[in-house]
Amino acid sequence: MSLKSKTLVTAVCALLLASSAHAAVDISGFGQVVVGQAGGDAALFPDSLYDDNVDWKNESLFGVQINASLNDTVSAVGQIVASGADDFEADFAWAYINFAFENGLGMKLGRQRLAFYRYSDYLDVGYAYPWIRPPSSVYTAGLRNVDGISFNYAHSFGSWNSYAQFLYGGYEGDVKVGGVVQQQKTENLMSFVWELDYDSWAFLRLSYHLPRNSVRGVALDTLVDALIADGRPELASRLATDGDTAKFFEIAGQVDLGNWFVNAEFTSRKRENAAHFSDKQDWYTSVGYRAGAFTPLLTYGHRSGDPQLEFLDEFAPNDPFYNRVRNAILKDELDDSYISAGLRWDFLSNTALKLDYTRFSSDISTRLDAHLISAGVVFSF
Amino acid sequence: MKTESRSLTLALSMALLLSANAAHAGAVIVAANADASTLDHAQVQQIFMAKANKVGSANAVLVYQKPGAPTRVAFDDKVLGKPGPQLTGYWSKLIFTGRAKAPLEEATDAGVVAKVASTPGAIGYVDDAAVDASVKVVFNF
Repeated sequence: MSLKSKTLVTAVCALLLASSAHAAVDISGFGQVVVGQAGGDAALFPDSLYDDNVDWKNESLFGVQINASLNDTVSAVGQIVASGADDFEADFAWAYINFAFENGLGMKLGRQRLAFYRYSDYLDVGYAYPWIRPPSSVYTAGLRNVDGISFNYAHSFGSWNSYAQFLYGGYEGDVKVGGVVQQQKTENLMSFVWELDYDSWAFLRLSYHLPRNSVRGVALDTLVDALIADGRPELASRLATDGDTAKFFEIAGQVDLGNWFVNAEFTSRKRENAAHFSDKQDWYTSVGYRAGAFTPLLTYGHRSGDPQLEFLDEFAPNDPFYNRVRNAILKDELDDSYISAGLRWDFLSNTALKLDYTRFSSDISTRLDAHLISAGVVFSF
Repeated sequence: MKTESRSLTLALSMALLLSANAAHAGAVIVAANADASTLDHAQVQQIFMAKANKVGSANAVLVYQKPGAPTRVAFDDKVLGKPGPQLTGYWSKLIFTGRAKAPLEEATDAGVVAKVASTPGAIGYVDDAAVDASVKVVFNF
């Protein structure tokens, strides 16, 4: 964290605490310490920082939230999270002014977590979900923060409850994808989320997100730069993610019978103007059983991506770029499976222990098998 | 004499049973002057899980009891259907995504009655025995 943002964190905390004389201030928090170790043929567990060394930091984090109610309608909310993956440097995950209008209508102005997948906007709050982490086959998106405006509307009819959210915003800064930092600029992001639940046993969520992304700091940069240097900027632009619009569709559901519960989520990604990136479909389904304080879980997840080799038609087979481009495109080919067995044990109030074992295997020969074993203690107050 | 003592024992055990039942009977309360009328199970659930935000015409102010309090244990289980950790997890999601503010918490039935009686829009739950004239019952559990 830069000195500037550290000063800002301090200033906002001071402001919120000072304002407590005039406003109702709530302080709450959450966190987790997770230890994990990967193994198998691959050097790293896919989309993670775990290798064959025991790691205590990657997924450990502490968060604190300060909510100052300024009046019946408006509150100022700051949520600061220090992640082990960032050496526990604190940063704002949320910093917004919340308007809670009459009749279930609300508005947030400022920094917010993007509700990209079902658990995205509270991914840091491990206490709020059963797994040690939401299934790896789906939870791969790097973009988490958005600066902008969102509207939400909650409505109940009989035992049905509906919650809708529309968000417009953007983000410019570092984004981590599978532990690798890239520089990302996201503009004109529109995000639609709709959730419906019946009583507390059936839940359905649909979401659609349209970001316009520009990305640097990725493996592809070298190839893109080489194409530009070779006098082919148009092809370089089609290869690079530079102002490309992506379309993400997601559907999630849950049936909760009290003891037994079944969860599933499916997400599909399509990119426009990006010549080579494959269309991807990811999903998982999970079944759990609550036996008193113990919740064992089984999860199966799958990722698939079809490489779009048509872009290769732009290159003659004897073109020196032919093989490099072909390899870059084929890196996007996915046919991966994840199988997990997990356990959550609520051993004390506000505190739970979680265990997980996940096996990764792929039908793409270059993607090597791996497994990950992890344990963590999560809390919320 | 024998019959007498038997009926005495019976009467005593019935009295004990009744008081035990009374200790487990709870009431959802609002201020005596609130315009909220009787609520059904689904409405109580929606209000206490922050899915509905009105009590009568006022904005709802939720008054929970502290975790572990007997009335809370009964309410979580019988009315919300989410015992201890499940409810804490549910509220963690609401609070840390900004969907709802944390509910107020009182340590005792008397504390809940006092808070509900004095706060516009407040709704809480107490043991039946704690209900007095400052509040009115909108749901029994």
